[in-house]
Amino acid sequence: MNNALKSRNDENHRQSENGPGNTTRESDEEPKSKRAKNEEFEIENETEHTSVNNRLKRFSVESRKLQVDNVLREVLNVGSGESLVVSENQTFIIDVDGILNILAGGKVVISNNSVLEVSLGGKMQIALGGRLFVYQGGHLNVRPEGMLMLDPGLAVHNGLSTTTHQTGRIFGKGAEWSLTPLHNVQATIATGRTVLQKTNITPKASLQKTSCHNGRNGGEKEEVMQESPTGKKDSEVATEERIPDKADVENVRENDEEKEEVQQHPPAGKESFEVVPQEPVPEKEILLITPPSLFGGEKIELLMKDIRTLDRGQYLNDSVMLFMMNYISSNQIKQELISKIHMFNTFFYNSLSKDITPLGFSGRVDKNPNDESNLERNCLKVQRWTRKFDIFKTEYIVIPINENSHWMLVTIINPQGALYENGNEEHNKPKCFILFYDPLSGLNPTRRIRITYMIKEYLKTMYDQTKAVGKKFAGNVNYEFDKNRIIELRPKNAPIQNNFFDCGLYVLHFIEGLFCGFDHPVTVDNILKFDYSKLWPEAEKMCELMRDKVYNLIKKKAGHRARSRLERFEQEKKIGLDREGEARKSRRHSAAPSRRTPRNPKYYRRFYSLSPPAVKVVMTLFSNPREIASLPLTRRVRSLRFPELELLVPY
Amino acid sequence: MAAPAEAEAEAQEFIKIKVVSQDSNEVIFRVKPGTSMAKLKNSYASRTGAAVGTLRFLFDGTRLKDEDTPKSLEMEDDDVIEVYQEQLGG
Repeated sequence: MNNALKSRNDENHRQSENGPGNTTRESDEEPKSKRAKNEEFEIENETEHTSVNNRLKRFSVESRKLQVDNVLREVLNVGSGESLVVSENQTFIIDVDGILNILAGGKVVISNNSVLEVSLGGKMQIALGGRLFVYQGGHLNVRPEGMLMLDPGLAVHNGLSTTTHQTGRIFGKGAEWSLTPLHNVQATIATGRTVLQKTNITPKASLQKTSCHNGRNGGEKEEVMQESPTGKKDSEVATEERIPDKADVENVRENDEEKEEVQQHPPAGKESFEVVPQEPVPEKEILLITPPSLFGGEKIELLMKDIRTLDRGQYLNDSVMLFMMNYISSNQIKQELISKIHMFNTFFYNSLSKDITPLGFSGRVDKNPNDESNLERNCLKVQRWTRKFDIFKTEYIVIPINENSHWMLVTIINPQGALYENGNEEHNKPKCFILFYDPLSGLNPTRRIRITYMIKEYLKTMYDQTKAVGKKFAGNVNYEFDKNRIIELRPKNAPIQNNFFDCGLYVLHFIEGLFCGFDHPVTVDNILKFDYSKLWPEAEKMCELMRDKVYNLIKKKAGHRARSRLERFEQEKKIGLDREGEARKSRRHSAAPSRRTPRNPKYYRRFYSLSPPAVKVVMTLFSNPREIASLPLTRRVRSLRFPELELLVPY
Repeated sequence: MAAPAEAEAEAQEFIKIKVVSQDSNEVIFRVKPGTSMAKLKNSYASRTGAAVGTLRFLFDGTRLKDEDTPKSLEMEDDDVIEVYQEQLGG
C-alpha cells in the first residue's frame, strides 16, 4: 500500500529489486509517459514487436506470453491474442490507479501458487471475450477498495479461488461466469462483496456463504452478493444460488464510491437456497391396493412398475391378472352367480406342479421318478388353501395357469360330477368337465393332458381329504370318486391370439366372457353345444381392447394422488407412449348401443362432403373439374397423386 | 432362576418361519408376532440378492402384503412361506 502512495520516480529506481534474475528490464525502451512501473517482463523473442497497450513493446510472439510479477500502477491493456501470465510463486499487484484491462481475445493466467491482487484503488476489468485463467493453487485476491469488473462473455476456468477483503468487490455487469463443480470460489463475505449481475452460473455449482476464508477445501463455493439499484438492501448480504433463468437483470451502479458506502452486514450463518430437484418416482411405490377379493380375502398391491406390463407388446404380470380377476369377480359377475364360483390365484398351479418335470418340447426330458410322490405332496399342500369350505359345493373353479411364460385357463365345471353315490349311479348323472383354454390354439394335446392330469389328481386328493367317508365335509352320503367321470374339453371357437404377447388379456377376456354374458353361463347341460363365437361374436377385438380397459380401470381405481404420481412415473420412464391417452379413455370395450333417433343432420354432414382444402387442390389442378374425367385412368391417378412427377403416358 | 424363565418367554415370543423357494432352498427366520412381513421380505431378498418387487411370498395360498404380521396371519411355529418369482406371460 505504501508503495502505491509513493511517487513514480521512486518506484522507477526500485524496479530491479523485486524482479527475478532471469528477466530483462524493459524500462529503458519504454516511452516516458505512462508506464507500468516496477514491472519485469520475460521476453523470449525481442525481434517481434507487438503491443500490450502500445507501451510494453516486446514480448514473445511465438508463445504470445508476457510474464509479469510486480506492481501495476498504470493502465495495462491485454489485447487480442496477448496473454499476461503471473508466473509461479509470484504476486502481481494492481495498485492505486492501476487498471488492468483484459480486452477481447486477451488472456490473463494466474499460475500455480501465484496471486493476482487487486489492491486499494486498483481495478481489473475483463471485457467481452477476455479470459481469466486461474490454475489450481492460483489465487485472485481483491483487497479493500479493489475492484474486479466482469463484462459479458467472461470465462473463468479451472479452480478459481477468490478472496474479497473489506470493501473489495467483484462485480460484473452481465457477466457470464460459468462455474463447473470443480471451481473453488471463496470470498470473504464479511469484509467484501461480490456482485455478479445477470450472471450465468451453471446449476451444479452451488453458492454458499462463509463468514471467513477457509482456504481451499474442495467444496464448490461461491458467494454472490446481490446489489440492488438503491444499493441499500438487506439482500445484499444474502447469498443466493443462481440459476441462469433467475439471473438478475438489475443494473449495477457504475459509481464505485457509492457502492463502497453501502453497509456491510456480517452474515448470520449458512444460507443456501437450493432448488431441490424432484426425485424420480420409485418403481416399488405402491400404486393401489385392491379391496379384498371374494376368494380368501386376498388384497393385491399393484406397484408402479406393474404398469409397464400394460404397454403394448409387454407380457402381462401376475399382479395385473389378479387385479383384473378381482375386479371381474366383485364388479361384473352377478351376485347369485359369484357364490357358485371359486377362483384360485395364479400361483395355484405353480404350487401344484412344483418339483415335477417340466414339459419337454422335444420329448427328450427324462421323467423324474419322484414325480408321483411330489405330486401327492403338492396336492396335500395345496389342499390347505381351501380348508375352510367344501370345494365340491362350488359349481365353477377357475384356475389361471402360468407355465413357460404363457397364460392359460382351466375351468372346472361342476366338480360335484366327479363324485357318485354308492349304489345310486342313476341319480348323479351330470359329469364333471374341465374346460381347458389356451389362447395359443391349444391344439397340441401334450400340455392339455399334463395339466388336466394334475388337476384330476388334485380333485382326487380333495376327495380323499374332505369328502371320503368320515372326513370333514363328507356328510351322510357315501361318496365315491371316479376319474373317468371327468371330461376334458376345449372351448369351441374361442378367440386365438394373433401375436405372442397378448395371452394374458385373452385369458382375462375368457373369464369375463364365461360368466358375464347375457345368457346363462356355461352349464353342464349346454357345454357340449357351447360355441364361444355365438356368445361373443367379436371376441378378438374385445381382447385387443382389454389392455386399455385394464389400464383405465387401474387408473380409475387408484387415488387422485397415485394417479398424478403414475403420470409422472410414465413420463420419467417413458411408458405408455403407444397409448392414445384421452382418446383411448372414451373408447368402449363393447359396441355402443344403436341410437333410436337419428342425430342432428349437421352431425352427419361432414362425412359426405370434401373438406375445403381438398376442394381447392382439385380446383387449382384442373380449372375445369370435368377434365379429370376426360383423362385416361392411369394418367388421372398419377397426376392426382404426384402432380410434380407427371410422366408422359405411352398411349 | 429368573434367567431361564426369561429365556423361555423370549423363545415363546419368537416364531420360526421357513421360507422355501421354488428350488427348495430353505431359509429359517425367527420372527416376533408383531413384525411386519415387509421386513421379512426385505431380509430374504437381500440374502438371495433378488429384488423384492420380483418375488411373491405366499402363505396358505394368499400373497403376503407388506403390512401383514404373523399375528394377523395366525402363523404358528414351523409354518412355511413359499416364494415364487414374478409371473409373466404372453
